[in-house]
Formats: sequence, structure tokens, C-alpha cells
Amino acid sequence: MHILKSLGKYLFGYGSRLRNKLTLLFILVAVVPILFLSTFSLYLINVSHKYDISALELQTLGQEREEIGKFFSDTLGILELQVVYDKKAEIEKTQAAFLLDNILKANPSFLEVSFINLNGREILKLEKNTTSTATSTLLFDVSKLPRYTVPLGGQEYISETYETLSGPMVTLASPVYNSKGEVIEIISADVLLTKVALSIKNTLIGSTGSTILLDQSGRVISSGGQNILKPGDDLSNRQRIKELLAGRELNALSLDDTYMGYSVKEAVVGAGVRVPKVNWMLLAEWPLSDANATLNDVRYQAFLFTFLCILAVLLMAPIFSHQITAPVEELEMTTKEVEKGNFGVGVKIRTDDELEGLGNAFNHMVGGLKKLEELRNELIYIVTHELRSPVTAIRGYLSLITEGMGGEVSKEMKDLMVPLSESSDHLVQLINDLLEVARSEAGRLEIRMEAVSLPEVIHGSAEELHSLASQKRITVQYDERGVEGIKVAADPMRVKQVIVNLISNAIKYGKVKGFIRIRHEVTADMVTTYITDDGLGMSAEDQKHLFEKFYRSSKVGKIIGTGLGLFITKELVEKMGGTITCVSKEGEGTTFGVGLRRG
Amino acid sequence: MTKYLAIIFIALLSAALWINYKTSVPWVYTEIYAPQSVHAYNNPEQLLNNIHVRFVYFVPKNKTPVDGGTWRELADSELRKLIAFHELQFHELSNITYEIYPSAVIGLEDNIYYDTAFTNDGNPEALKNISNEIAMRMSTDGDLSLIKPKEGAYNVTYILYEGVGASAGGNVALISRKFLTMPEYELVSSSLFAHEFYHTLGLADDYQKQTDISTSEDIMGLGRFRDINRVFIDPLKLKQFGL
Repeated sequence: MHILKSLGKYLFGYGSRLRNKLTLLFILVAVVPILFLSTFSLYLINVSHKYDISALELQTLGQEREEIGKFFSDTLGILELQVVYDKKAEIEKTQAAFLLDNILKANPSFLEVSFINLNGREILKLEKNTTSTATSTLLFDVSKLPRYTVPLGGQEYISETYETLSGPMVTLASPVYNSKGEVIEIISADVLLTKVALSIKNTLIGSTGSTILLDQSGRVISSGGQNILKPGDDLSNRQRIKELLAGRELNALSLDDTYMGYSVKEAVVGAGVRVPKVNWMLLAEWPLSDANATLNDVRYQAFLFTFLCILAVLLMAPIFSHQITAPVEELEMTTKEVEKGNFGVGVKIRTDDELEGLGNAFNHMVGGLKKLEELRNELIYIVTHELRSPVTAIRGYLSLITEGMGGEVSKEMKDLMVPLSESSDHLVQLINDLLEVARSEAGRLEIRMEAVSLPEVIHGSAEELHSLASQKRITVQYDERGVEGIKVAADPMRVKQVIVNLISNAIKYGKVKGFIRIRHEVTADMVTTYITDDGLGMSAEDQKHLFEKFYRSSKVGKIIGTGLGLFITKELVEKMGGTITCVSKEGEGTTFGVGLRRG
Repeated sequence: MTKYLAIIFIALLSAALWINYKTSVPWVYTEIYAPQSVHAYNNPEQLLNNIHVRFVYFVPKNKTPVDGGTWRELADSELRKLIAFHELQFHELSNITYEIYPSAVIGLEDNIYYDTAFTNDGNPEALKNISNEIAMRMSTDGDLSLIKPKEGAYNVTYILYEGVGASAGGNVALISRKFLTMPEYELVSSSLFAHEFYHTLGLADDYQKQTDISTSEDIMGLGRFRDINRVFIDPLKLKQFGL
């Protein structure tokens, strides 16, 4: 419940400013490292994952590259022929036929092999899977073709790849040397690349990653993926192929290596390498959805953990801050009580730290203040008690002098005696009030409870104050309906003191020609007497301090008063087990309500 | 103070969310490239997405046509092989349809009129004379008016000639039936058939007329004498087709 209350205060903004500050500070101090660590760890995971992808793709491409290299070693290697004789003459036809037949059998990728003489004329040709003699007789002059011109210069020839209905093919040609190293013939072969193409098509990276093989001009030889690319498709205008053609290796680490795939219709992370000797290009494309599948799981878990940590901090921060601010708040509240003169209070702080020490010191201080207050009250009581007799005597004698008991008093003398008499009255009032307060605070106020008839008290009080009200021509209206025969439990002298005090205040602060209305409200237990005037009224701030000792509103001006009347009234009412309330509006008047238990 | 802490907190949270977003949603490089448009060789104006072949078996008046079933099967077989080859070379971006005129078209003249005295270099005179006659007969009031060009397609007329020669020009190709039926051309007949067809798309011969020496390995050169299953169109030429 305490936690919920604390959380509620935090969430709905009712917390103290210090608590809000501490809560935010806690959140900031706890959440910032969490967010930082979370972000940094995600970054590291990303980087590490990126390097893993790069390594895997480059490894796959390396294997493919090796396979292609081996394919050409196997095919071109077979075509490397050197005869044992040293004359510069063509190989004898029977031997040539035997050689071509063996070459065709040696590697299933060979489709056609032929010997070309130094004039560029095909002299013997064999084709695989052909029983017809029709084409074997078709021997042509190939002197204008690179499969003749290149090897004639002593170099191996590898043509561009081309797409045929049998599959991707390439033409290879190699010079045939005699024992002296002289070129005596050219051997040429049409080689099917199906084996290489299938290997590329079947290569998988992860679950859906694929590879693409392109020839030296950027045309697709074979591709895995979603069959988007077809053999022969020209990708030379694509950025990544341009980069590969320019000799740059793509390692799947740079920003551009994440792109919309060529072999799949989604974003991929890709690497690319060149294949030496044939200058082909190999490209790996791994869809991000697959490549990052595990990473997404890790990321989700990291996010979840971070979220839970932040949530925990958000929930715990108000509780922690409350632990710190609660004793401070208790100190603040208790201090306000002490400020009001209530020295019987204390704080109960059990935090086992400096705050508990502060609380104990505070309690000691309040104890000390209480003793001082008691001493002060005692002093006031004694002083006022001792002053009362001489001051009363002074007033009495002044009265006698004014009345001429000591001889005739001149008019000037009488005029001078007026303020002296008024000051004497005020002094007596002040001493009486102080004595009353001192009695009350020293616990010497005697209350004799008995059944009291309120109308009697009110009539008596009104009678007593009649002349005062008449001076200001204030009408006092008393509505005693509802209290006939009903009595209240009170001290008759004290309740009269209360009513007189309230009516005299109403007269004192009332308007000239104003009114005072007195009425009762009776319930089963209580009788509340309301005294309403149409006087000055009070501000909300004044009402807060109304019953404090010596408090006087700045708006009362030169109206004489001690500031103790309402304090004493409240003390008396409460000592009689009653309550006193006040409702006032500045400029409109005031209503005091005195509630007493029925007797 | 509280306000500033709140602002700092929101800023940090936003920054963290932004970084997390950036690390979880990768930047994807998108490139812009021109889409492929298949067109006639070196002629981007003439699109080749759809090619329609109107096939005609043409017999001079003084010659006897072979059995109807035989030449139609032959034509159908060669056209199907051509389509398979074309789809592969053109990456299925160019589509060939065909229509075979159901009966032999008997010429208005004897073969000597079409062939003239000179039949070398693939008999270009026959191509010219026959294509003129067929064009005339295919016109609205001609007897071949039923063979209509296909709307929205590049229309090619392919003539199977009961005579000599193999030639092509404009959008008309001609090939002697002998090239498709004689045993010595058995394995290369389809390549020869395709060779003449690709002239109608703008490709020139890749061999020297006088010496017959080929200057390329593809279907326009030495490839015309190879099995269609092992023939290709040079990638550089494909580029000129927009591929």
C-alpha cells in the first residue's frame, strides 16, 4: 500500500519537489549507464555479426573460386600437349584422333575438340555424343578466330562464356609444342560449364544466401537465389559489378555492401571477389532476413532486458527517493507544529543513518524548547499575576480621580485623564488576557462544566455589550429558535467569556450601522452558535493565523486589540470539549461558529 | 532543475532509441539503373518484345511441292528450336510467335524467274523476287490476304523455298528446303534456319563472302555450321539488342 501510494504520488505529480528531483536523479544515474551499455553492446554485437557474415561469405566465395580454378586446371591442363619429336610437323592423323578421343573421354565437360594447323585450318575434329559423320567432315578455316590467333602466339586462350541450349560454354585453346618448344599445331575445345554452374546454383549461405558467377564482362554465368537472374543477363551496369570490374574486392563490411539483391528481391549483405586467370567474378548475396535472424533474436532479448531494467528503475526510483524524503517531510511537518507552539510533538525516524541522528537531535531540541516555553509561561503568569493588583489599583484610583472623589477636576485635567484611563484599561485587558493565556498554557485554567442555557448567556452578553454596539449603531439580532429548553455542557462563566469575546470582536470590526446576527444550529449531539457580522471580513491568509497568539491582521489599522482574544476563545472552547470555526470573506463579513456538546 | 533533468533524460532516451534503431534497421544501398529494352540490332526505335513470324512454303510454278505434312512438320520443328534458342539468348525478354500458312504457296512464275542466272551468295535475287510477289499477294485483295501481320509485334516473313539459296533482308528471310532436309546439313540445319532469321533482326554475316572464312564463332559466323544446341549470339551483339 505504501509502495502504491508512493508510486501514485510520483506518477501523478503529488510528490515533493525534492522527491521528484531525487527520483529523476536516480533514473538518470541508473538509466543512462543502462542505455549506454545496451546501445554499446548492441553496437558490438552488430559489428561482430557483420564480421562473421563477411568471413562466412568470403570463405564460401573462396571455396567456389578454388573449385573454378581446379576446373580450369583440369581442362586447360589436358590441352597442354607437347610431342616428343623435334620436327615442326603436324601430329600424325591416327595419333591425333587417338588423342582427341582420349581428351573427350577424360573430362565429361569437353563437348568438342579439334586440331588446327598452323594455317588456321581445322584438320581433325571430334564431338561428344555424335555418331553422325556429317559434322566431323565439316572442317573450317578458323584463321580469323581468336582460338587460333591467340595460341599461335604461344598463349592459352579462354573465350568469353556463352549461353547455349546445352548450357554455359567456353572455348579453350592451347598451342601444341614439339620437343624444341615450337608451336606445331593448335588444340581447341568447347567446354561445358554445367558443373561449375550447378555448383554455384547449389551453394547456400545460411538458409537462403546464394552466390552469383559472372564472366569477365559482367554477364551472369550462373546464379542461385530466386531464379531472378538468367544466364547471360548483363549486370555490368550495376554498381557492385562495376566495382569488381574495377578490381575492388567487396568484403561485406562497408555501408554499400548492404543493398537490394540482384538474385533475390530483398535487401542483402554481399561480398564479391575476382576469379584469377579467367577474370570472372563471384558475388555472394545473403538476405538480411536470414543473415540477421539470430542477431534479431539477440537484439530482441537485449531490448527486453534493457526495457525491464528501465522499468525496474522507474518503479524503484520513487521508492528509494521516498525513503530519503519521507524523514525530511516528517521533520518539515513536525517543525510546522512546533512553529505553532505545539511542543508535545516529535519525529520517529528509524533509518539508522544521519537522518535518524538528525531526527533525534530535533526531538531533543523540541524537548528543550518545551521546557523553555514552560518557563516562559510560568514567568508570564507570575509577572501578570503580580502586575494585575497594582494595575487594577491604578485604574481604580484613576476612576476615583476622574469622578472627582479627590476634589474638583478641571476640564483640561479631565481631557488629559481620558487617554490615561484608556491606556490603563488596555493594560488591564492585556494583563488579563496574558494571565488567561498563561493559565491555559500552564494548565491552571479551571473549567467547571454544567448544563448551560445558551439564550441566557447570549442575552446576558448582548446586554453587557449593548452600549458598545449602540456607539456604532450596530443592530444585534438574536434568533433563539431551536434551542428552547436545550442546554449545553459548558462552564457558564467561560462560555459567556467566549460569546462576549466574539460579539465584541464583531462590534469592534463591524461597520457603523451594521448588524450582528446570532443563531443556533442543533444536532443530536451538538449545538452550534453562529455569530455573523457584516464587517471587514478576513483574507484567506489571515484566516490561517486567526487563532494564533498575538496575530493581528494588518488591515485592522488603529483598532485596539491584544491579538490574544481569539486564541483564548479557542482554548476555552476546546477545553470545554467544543469546536470553533470561522468563515469569512474580505469586505463582506465573518461568521464564527462555536459548537458545544449538548448537556 | 527537475525540468532540465527531464529534458536530459528525454534527450538521452531519444538518442539511445535512435542508435538502437540505426543498429537494428540497416541502411540499404539502392541503385538506379536503366531497365533493359529489347530492340532491333542497333535500332532502339524498333522494339522486339514481340516478334511474329509468318511462315510460307513457296514453290515456283514449275516445281512440285513436297508432301504437306512433311514441310509443315519441318517448319514447326525448326520454328520451335528457333524459339528455344531465341528465348535463351534474349533472356526471355523477347517473345516469338508464329503462324504457318497451311498450304504451299505456288509461285506465279517458274524458278528461273525468281532465281535469275545468278544464285551465288545465298540467292538474293530469289529473296527479292519472291518477297515482292508474296507482299503483293498478301495485300488486301491478294490470294494470301489471310496471313495478316500481328498488331503490336515486329512481323517477319519466313519463306521456305522449294529452290536454292538462303538469304534475308529487311524483315524477310528465305531458306531452301534442301538446307533443312539434306543429310549433310542434318546437325546444322536449325542453326542455318536461325542464322537467316537473325538477319531480319538486323545482324549481318560474320564471314567473308569470297573465302567463306568466318570472323566470329557465333551464329552469324562459324556458329551457323554448328549444332543449334551449341550455338550462341555474341554477347557484344546482344548488347546492341539492348540486352
